[in-house]
Amino acid sequence: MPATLRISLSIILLAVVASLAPICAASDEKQSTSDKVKLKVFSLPPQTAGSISEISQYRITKRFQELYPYIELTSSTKLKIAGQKEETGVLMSIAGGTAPDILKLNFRMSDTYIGRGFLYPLDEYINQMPKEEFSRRVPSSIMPVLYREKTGDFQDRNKHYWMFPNRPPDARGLKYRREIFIASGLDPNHAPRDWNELMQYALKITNPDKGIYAFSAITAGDSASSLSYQMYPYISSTGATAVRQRPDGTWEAAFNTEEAVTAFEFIDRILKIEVTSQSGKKLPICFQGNASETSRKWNESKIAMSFAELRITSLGDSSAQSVSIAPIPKGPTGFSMSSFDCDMYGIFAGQKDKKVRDAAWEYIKFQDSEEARKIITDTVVEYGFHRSISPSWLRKYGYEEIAETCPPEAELAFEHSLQNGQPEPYGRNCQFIYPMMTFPIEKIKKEVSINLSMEERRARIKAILDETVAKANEKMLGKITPEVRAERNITAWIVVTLGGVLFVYLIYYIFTSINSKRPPVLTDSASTYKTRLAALIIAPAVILVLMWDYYPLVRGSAMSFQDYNIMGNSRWVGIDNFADILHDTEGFWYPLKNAFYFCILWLLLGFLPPLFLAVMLQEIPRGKIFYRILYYLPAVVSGVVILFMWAAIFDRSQEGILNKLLALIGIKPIEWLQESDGLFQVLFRMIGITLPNWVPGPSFAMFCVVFPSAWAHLGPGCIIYLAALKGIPDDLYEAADIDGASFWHKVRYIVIPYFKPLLVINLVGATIHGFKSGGAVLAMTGGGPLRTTHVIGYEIFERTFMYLNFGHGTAIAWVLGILLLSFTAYKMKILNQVEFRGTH
Amino acid sequence: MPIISSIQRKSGSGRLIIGLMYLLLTVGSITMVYPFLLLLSGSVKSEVDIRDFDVFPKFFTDDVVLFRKFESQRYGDGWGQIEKFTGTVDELPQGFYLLQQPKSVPHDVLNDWYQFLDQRSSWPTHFLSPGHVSGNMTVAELSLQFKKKVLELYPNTPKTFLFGDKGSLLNREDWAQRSYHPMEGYLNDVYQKMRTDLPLRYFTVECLQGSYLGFMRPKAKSEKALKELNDRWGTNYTNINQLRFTSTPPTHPEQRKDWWAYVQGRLSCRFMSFSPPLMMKYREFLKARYKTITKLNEEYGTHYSQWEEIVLPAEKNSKIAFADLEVTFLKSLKDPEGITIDGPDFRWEEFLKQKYQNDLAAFNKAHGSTVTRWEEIRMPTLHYDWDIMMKNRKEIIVEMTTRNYKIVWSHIAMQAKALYNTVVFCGLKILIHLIVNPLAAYALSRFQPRWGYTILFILMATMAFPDEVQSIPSFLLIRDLGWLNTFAALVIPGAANGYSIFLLKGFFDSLPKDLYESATLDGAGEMRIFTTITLPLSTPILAVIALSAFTSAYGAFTFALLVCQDESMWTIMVYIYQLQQTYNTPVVFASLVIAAIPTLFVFIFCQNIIMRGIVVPVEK
Repeated sequence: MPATLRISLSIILLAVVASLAPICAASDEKQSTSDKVKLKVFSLPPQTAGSISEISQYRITKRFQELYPYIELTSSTKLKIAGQKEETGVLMSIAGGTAPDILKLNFRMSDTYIGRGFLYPLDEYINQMPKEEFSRRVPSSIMPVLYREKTGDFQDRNKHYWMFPNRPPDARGLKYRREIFIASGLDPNHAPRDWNELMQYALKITNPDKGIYAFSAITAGDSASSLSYQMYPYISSTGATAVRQRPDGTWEAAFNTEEAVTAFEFIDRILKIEVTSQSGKKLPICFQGNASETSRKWNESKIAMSFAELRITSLGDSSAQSVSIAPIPKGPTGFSMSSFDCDMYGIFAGQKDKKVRDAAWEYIKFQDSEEARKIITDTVVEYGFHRSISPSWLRKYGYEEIAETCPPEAELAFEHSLQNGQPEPYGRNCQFIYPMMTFPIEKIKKEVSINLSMEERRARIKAILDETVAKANEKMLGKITPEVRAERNITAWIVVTLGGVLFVYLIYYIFTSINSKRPPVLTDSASTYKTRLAALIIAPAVILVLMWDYYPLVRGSAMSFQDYNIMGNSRWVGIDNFADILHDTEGFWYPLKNAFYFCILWLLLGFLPPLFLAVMLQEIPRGKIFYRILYYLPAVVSGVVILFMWAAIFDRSQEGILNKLLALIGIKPIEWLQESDGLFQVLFRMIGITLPNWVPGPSFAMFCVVFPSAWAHLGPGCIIYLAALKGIPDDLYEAADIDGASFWHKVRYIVIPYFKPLLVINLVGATIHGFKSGGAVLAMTGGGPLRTTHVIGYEIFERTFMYLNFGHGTAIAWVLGILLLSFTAYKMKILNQVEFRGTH
Repeated sequence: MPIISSIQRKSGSGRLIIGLMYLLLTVGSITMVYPFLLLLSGSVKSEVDIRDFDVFPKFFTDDVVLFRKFESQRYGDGWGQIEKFTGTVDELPQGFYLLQQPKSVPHDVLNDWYQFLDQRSSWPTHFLSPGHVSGNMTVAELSLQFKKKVLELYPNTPKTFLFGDKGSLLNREDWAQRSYHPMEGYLNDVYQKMRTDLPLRYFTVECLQGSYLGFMRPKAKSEKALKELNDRWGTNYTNINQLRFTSTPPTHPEQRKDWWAYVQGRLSCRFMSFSPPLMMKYREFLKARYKTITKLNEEYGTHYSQWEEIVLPAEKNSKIAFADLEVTFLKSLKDPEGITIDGPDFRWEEFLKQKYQNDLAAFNKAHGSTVTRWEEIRMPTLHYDWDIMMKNRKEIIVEMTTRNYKIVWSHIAMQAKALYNTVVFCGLKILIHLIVNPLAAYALSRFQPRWGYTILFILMATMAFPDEVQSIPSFLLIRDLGWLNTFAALVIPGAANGYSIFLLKGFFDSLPKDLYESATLDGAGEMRIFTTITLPLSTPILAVIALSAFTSAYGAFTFALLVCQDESMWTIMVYIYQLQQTYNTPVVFASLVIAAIPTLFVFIFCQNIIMRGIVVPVEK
């Protein structure tokens, strides 16, 4: 396995592992009765700090320690896995038994955290809190998020308080760069108020000569699936919503209304419209790239407008005076709606010591208290960032004079967004909703031309949305009648039984093939002694294998029949997991098909080239070692960095390295990793022929995903062939030379037959690898565009790690495993027929 | 032996084939080397030029690129800072990467400027402040020096304190900002010592003009607004930058209003002085507020004995003194009469006036300018920056080239435990792999026990199962055994590898049997045979096993991180990984280059051993 994939894969495995381990009592050591209560909080602010929020956080913590000297604060180590969100670290520490006593969460995570039993109900504490204090600190709009039933718990139907805000809610607004407005001849005090204005502004602002864009969208990299989140203010401003609650309390997708069609139509125009300058240069009004490119363009003042998350203590970019904040522009129906979120704390349910829980509550309660708010305000004023805090806080905490000098627009925008906002989706399975809504945006971009008439466009968009919503609901609601469930279980039983039979047969097959050559049995007494000695020497290896391979295997297989829970209380669900995945076209069969394609590409690009390289390195008279080292270079560099380099090489803009090369021979830029067209379409487009959509050919983006890993594998992969070439006896060549054989003849009749066992073994290994890998996808595309690179390895990662659905994850892994077992069986058979020979 | 025989090599087609191979190999190796060179080149860059994907960093040869980087470092990667410190009439482009060489000016401009700077001993501290102290997701030159100094002078400073998340400890001195107050405590002592020793070129000159422009710019955002401002002020500016901050309140009522808004609401009182009547008023205000002088001394940290002694607050006074004056007192004033502002801008103007004896024409001639009034003169900040950069070019380039590596080194070198952990981890892993696997293989090969193949099957069968299924429960097992945060968790699982044993057995089988027989005849015991015959003959394959154990142990950070979350168990790789989260791309590149060195050397020096140790399957 090349280093790239090995590392990526290990990230996946790690993540899967992290998400699943049950909790061990984290509180053992805390039971020693010392006077001080040790409280492990989510994170402690650094003493020497850069940002204002860190400094005020530090002061709040200090004040807390003054007030509660008996509580000793510690923090859990904070280390994030690249590209993943903060929660990874927490899940890792929950798995490792070093979880903090206080967990940090937001709306989107709340359902999973409650459902998985991470949170300890706060009822006993909140019931003691005075009513008016509670209502002051918890806006009624967020009540449904923190006070609700435990998801998936059928015994306890009562509502509980699960979490408590640690700061006021965050809303969203439109931030824009004043200097770009000025440069475009627009009034920087007049932000666009509705969509018409927004579009007019965008056309004026976009400047192909200077490379200035009106908007930005993150459409590549691992945040690409959040495209719909970035665009969500457009959707909500039409009055459409992502999800809606049904009378029975469950949530369903609802983004296929007429209003939603309007929104998606508009979003599509934003992504597609281009402006042509007088010199004939073209530029889209919306910059599209990965997260780091986008933020760089914004910092370079190349992007004029962006939706921003507003916090009451940091309204907008406090660093830049040239950035202003305005409310979300109104949609066609005349209202502007956005969504809001809130950072919250909950008490970790694994903490069994009441004293620690009480201390935790004191800590949580103090975070957004009047005193803490005053500390924040004081700090912000002291450091001169008063323009970024809400003027109402300034007035409240004794800075009336300063409040008057602060611009009111930002606070107005913030208030407006809070009042007109809807909470971020927080219900059951709502975490699927943003990736689900991103899909139609990509599909519309690809399939619905901007030149169609408006009715036609709307009709097609509606069709796409209907289709996606239906799929989304199937996933979110799991609407299955008992009959269908029974029916599915029957097929699942059949498949699992067949799988089991296959499994047993394959094991038997391997066993017989390996035992087909029995050694001569020695019977004399010396050999009894030797046999015992041999047993003694072999024992460590056997014990290790039994312990670290077999035991985990048995234990792991049990989980595929469970609704496994990291906190314990896993429920046996029989065959359900298998039934679910086998009937999941989108979530199983489609990724499997993609994995098949990935595998074929890997064989073409990753398996064969090292062989050719080895032959060439063997033949050249000079510089063998020099070239060998050069080809080995990619293997010594971290895999993540190789992918990073290639992401830059695959830059979709005209400045991208490959696109520049293409431009030299007069070919238009290609979107590379974001290319949703197929390989054939792209190839034909290069020579100027447009193929219709129904002959797409395999995904071009997938090709771009496989290529870097294959390239990095070239050097390490060729080494074994090089060694093998050296092992070919000279007399074979000499005999061939006497017969006058040509180079190709010798390759055909000497090298290939000699290599056959090696080639077959490596081919099988490469196939297994190709099917299982998902790391490159995770790092480069996140499964997009249009899910064309969504392979099964990535699906396993997503289910287990992101949605903590371990049962499904293991079930898929097993189905895949049994499919791959046949390859392995074949490999074992070959291995048994060969002998190994040193090459010297 | 090559496939093409030596005779064929000399023929036309043989030469063609070999030529073709060289061509292909060279093209391929360019694609191998190119990204690696990009990595090397990127590792000496900064945020300003990291997106220029070039193999040879431009700043070595291109002074404009160097200037962009230099200014970005000087002004802490913040575009707002450079605007504030230059305050020029010319519009600056938006972003360091667009900065150009300043238009050339006569020699006299900089000569005069250096003469002016020579007077700096008579200036108050707050006229100058060091640049190169802060940076975005990197450690600026002086911060790095500062950390080193702190550790030298106070070796007991907690390491986490110095190398925390932020990577940057110093904040830029920002004297014109009201809220800015110098550091306190022993760190300030270290800082002040460093500041005194600092060469002049590190210092930037405070520019009130730029600061005022920053305040006024939002009021003239569009052409329309600029026109309104011109109408209001009775001026005809074509560009808001032409507006000039004056040391005394302007007489034009509208101009005075804006001037007052800035001085009253923004400017730090460090730059102000009061006329005697205003000073009286200030003392009365304090009298009314504190009643007794003792109370005032208590609050302000001063030692006044009577009200008449009171002067404007200085750095040694408490922050309350500043707040009273800047917020409450100034707010109570209706008109700025009596306030005078003193700053480098005005001193520069004064200096030139004196030097050219009030002769504007002479000044214009010498400076190649066309100003009509002394007030229009600006400080040549950008020219000065360019000049000091050119004068110290070599030094600056060397500093820029090495800094990312220094940052990485200071990050890793702090973790002596990490180095130890890495060595122990790699050592243990190699050791246990070399004990368990060859022993088992030897027993199978030498004794050929009846159940040998069954054992081999048991050992090898697990490779048929998908890793996903096993990895989670393995983790649970490690945890249940209480092995979390131990080396056992890192080296024991996966120590026995069926495929390795199979390969080793194959290798042992291929050793000549008669050697064993003659050894047995000579009366050698099994142990002796193993150590004197088998092991020496198997060096290459053992080396291969050791090497693969090394590379996997050295590179494994995700698994290491999972089972060893305790910081005291972290290896170098984990720290490098942690570093990637807090630093910008160029620093990360530098860390990756450092991390790649051991693996690269191991490969270069051991490749021949590796080649000899590889066993190849052939048909029987």
